[in-house]
Amino acid sequence: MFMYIVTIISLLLDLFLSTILPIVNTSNNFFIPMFTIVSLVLMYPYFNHKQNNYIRYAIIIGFIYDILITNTLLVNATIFACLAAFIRFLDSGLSNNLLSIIIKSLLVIFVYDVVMYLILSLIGYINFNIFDILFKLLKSISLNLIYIIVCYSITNRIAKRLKIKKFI
Amino acid sequence: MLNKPKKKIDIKYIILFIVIIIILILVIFSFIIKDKRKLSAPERFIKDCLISVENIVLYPFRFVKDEITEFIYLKDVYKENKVLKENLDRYDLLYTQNQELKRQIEELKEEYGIENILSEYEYVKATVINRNVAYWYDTMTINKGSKSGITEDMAVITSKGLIGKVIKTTKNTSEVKMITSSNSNNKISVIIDDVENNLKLYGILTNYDVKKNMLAIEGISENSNIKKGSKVYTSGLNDIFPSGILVGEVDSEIKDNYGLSKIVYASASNDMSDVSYVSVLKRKE
Repeated sequence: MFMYIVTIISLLLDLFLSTILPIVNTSNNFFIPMFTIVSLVLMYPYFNHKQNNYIRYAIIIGFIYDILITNTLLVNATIFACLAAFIRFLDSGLSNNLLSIIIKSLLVIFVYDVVMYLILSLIGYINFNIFDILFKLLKSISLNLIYIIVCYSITNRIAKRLKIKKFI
Repeated sequence: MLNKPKKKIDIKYIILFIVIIIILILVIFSFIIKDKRKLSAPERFIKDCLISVENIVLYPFRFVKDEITEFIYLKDVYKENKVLKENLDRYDLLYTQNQELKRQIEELKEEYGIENILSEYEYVKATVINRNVAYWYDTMTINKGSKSGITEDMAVITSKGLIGKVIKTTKNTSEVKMITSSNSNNKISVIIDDVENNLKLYGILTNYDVKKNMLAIEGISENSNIKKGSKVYTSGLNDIFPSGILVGEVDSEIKDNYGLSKIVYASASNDMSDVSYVSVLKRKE
């Protein structure tokens, strides 16, 4: 329940900030919120290696993301399930301290952006341009980095207080 | 009992299987991601429920944000008031001229048996409740839907001009695709009004050039010379947008790849990054 609450708060923050920050391809805005995807990485240690629960959680969050934000069905649910498998793979090589979480989160954001861009280009929704994706990756760093640090600290403290077990 | 030796599957079959799965997934996604796809009833219901919850939870934050925005705009109130007072004298004259033109249009419609003309529409006011941070930021969600009479392909505007069109609706929300989308299927019939040279040129707004930060209008005659700053309006000819909605201003022009026509680049009249309140235009039937 704690993991779902943190992710729902991240999703609501995404939605709220999207109306404040100039999130259009016409602006040179370097603050693109992708907090929902960051929360997938932050919440993995709290599943304590229960992989089925984690994949189910990623699919449910992806489904909500689909309905609420992108108006597609199952696209983000599928991609989030793949991201969950990728996070699991990264976790086997990296620990769960702050630096590792930052590296994992940024990698996951990059993978999501690239995969989404490739899918949209391959189906003809947008025209492929390497500079678009590179610029998008650059824009995705700053705000999400701040969120990773803040959210990691807050969730750590809350988890300690509520005595929620976390795999280190 | 002897154990049967496990058959090892050749790696090339595994790769082929993965490639087929990826192709199938892409085909399915191409149907799902299409703008023309209508939302199913369960999708519309779930979205309306989630949006209602979102509105309740985010209401205090939006209230504070609106108050702060109003406070920031307060400093411009004196200047705006001064400009409005200067324009007030012309208002009565414009109102009288407008009423006279309306009367003449009604008379002409009666004489020629025309029911509606391209520039007649009704307004439905709406608020932007979120933007699509995932798909290249080219869509946004507004808080009015089919319950308010909104359907697909209706034009969405602000006081400064065209924003985009409605592509999907639920009972209480609508998704708006912006004209600055880099999607190549986003075509709008426009007219360039070059007042100085007394030219009216028809063209098609085909896409948004992200590098130049300009709208690209194609199909303009190669022989025409268009003055920079000429206004671009919707022509009303494609039966989706009413005519006369400001789209932008001409910035530059180049010849197309074949040298047969021109591509005109226009700056959008709206600042797409700062859109909170919009109007949806419903063409009169």
